[in-house]
Amino acid sequence: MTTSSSSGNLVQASTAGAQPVDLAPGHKRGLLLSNPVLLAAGIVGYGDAVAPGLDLDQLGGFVTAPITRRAWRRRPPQVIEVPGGILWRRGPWNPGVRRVIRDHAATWKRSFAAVIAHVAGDDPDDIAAVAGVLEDLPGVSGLELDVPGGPRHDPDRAADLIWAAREAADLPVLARLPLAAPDALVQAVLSAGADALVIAQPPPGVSVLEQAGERFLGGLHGPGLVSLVAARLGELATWVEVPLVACGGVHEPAHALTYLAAGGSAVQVDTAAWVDPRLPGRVAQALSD
Amino acid sequence: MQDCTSILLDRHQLGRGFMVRTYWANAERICRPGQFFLLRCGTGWTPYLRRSLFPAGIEQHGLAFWGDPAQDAAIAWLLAQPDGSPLDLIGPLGNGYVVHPQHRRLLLLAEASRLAALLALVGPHLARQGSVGLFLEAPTAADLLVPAALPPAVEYVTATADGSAGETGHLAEALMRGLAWADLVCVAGSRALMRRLRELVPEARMGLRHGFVQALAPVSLACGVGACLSCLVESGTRHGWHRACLRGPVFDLVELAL
Repeated sequence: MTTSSSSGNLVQASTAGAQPVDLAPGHKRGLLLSNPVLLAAGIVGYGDAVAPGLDLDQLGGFVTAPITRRAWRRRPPQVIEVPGGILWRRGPWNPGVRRVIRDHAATWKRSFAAVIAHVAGDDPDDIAAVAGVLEDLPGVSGLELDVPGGPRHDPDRAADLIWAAREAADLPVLARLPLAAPDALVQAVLSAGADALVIAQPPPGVSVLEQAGERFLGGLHGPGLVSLVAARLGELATWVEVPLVACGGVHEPAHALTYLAAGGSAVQVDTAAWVDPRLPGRVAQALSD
Repeated sequence: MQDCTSILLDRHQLGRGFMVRTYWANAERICRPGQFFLLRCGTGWTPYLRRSLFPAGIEQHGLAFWGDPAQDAAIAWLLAQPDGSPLDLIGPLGNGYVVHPQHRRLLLLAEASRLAALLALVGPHLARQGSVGLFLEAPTAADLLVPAALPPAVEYVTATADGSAGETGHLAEALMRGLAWADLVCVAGSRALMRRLRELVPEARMGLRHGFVQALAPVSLACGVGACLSCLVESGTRHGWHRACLRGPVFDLVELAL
């Protein structure tokens, strides 16, 4: 099956029978994927960190690692194992948008899978600057932004970030929400023009490092997230009208089926793809059966 | 690099650890010492991540992995599997040690916990009529590799923290002599060992020149393909940060900021 992606690339869907899905039906460009399976932000870096056995051409797309306006190198990322998964303290570590484009734009242009750029930043001006640079880049089909959450969440600030991206770039915008995002925050993001919601950012987890006795804070990844994400997805599906993308927890094809049954339009596979590089392809195959 | 179902062939005890032999087609042609493999320990999600393993022996169609099951979860898992079991291995990954024909006197320096990555250098170098000196530091005598495990031609020098074998504490005078003798040093150990070596080499060699010391970066390899960034190492030159799993894990010591 061959179909035309929103970026103009020809998307070859090598998974027989996979159903194309548009994650931005309300956007004039749309965000058409050859099938509803993506890789979550940073799982293949910028498309340059692909485990042997992982075939990106089998997938609807991938979300890049974070891209900021300027290089962000404050604290090197780290991974530790915890019961049931890992904590990944990634942060927005990256060399800045200019360098990312210099090193990876050619790969994105050639990609059969749709490329969604994960734009990071706390300041609407920074978001706008990055989005504006990415707008006309061949191969970039959409943008994904993390919506700030936590106890100090601010719907107005979240809306400003989404709005900044929408204003600066004529690309569909996916808003990745905290798992516990209150409805007011969701509503603000939708009002600002998010074309789809990604449920959810890796929830924060803490572990105490044995040797150093330090608290380690990172995003939690593991199969235990499936029921949490599915529950939130089900709640939002009752009143949200834009497509919902489930992110996190997929460790076997049945998890993805659970998400679609709960109201998801697509799924993002995350760190499980490092351990089992053939999993995303099997998920795509399962969703096409 | 490939992902492959390997087969566990057999295992035997070697010192405190075990040597586990596996089948890997054309290993000798495609794999270099210092490159690594990622082993999935079972089909479930505990443990979650693959484990990195450095071949301690590379044969025509086989890889041997050595380690102490008490210290190394991957070796412990391997030992629990019966001979003939299929293994889910990805590799070889990264860039390993490079020993050129002009390198005749090879000094291997390791802390016992990281020794495995160096052992695969011994056999091929001796086969090329080169000389090998193995300098090993360990907490105690029981952590050292038994001398019988090494070919007789290998010069074996040890130090233990408790003084139960070899020099007490760190290798010092013998290492200085070794550094003066060698024309290539391959090292695997902690950041502290790398720092010490960086201080000793200029004393022994009138400076640390590019190409003299190849160091296995003291980092953990989580995803192994450059995505997680947990193996970032800072360059000691002007080249910023590198993902050890892609650019390394073996670097010229001059290139590492320690």
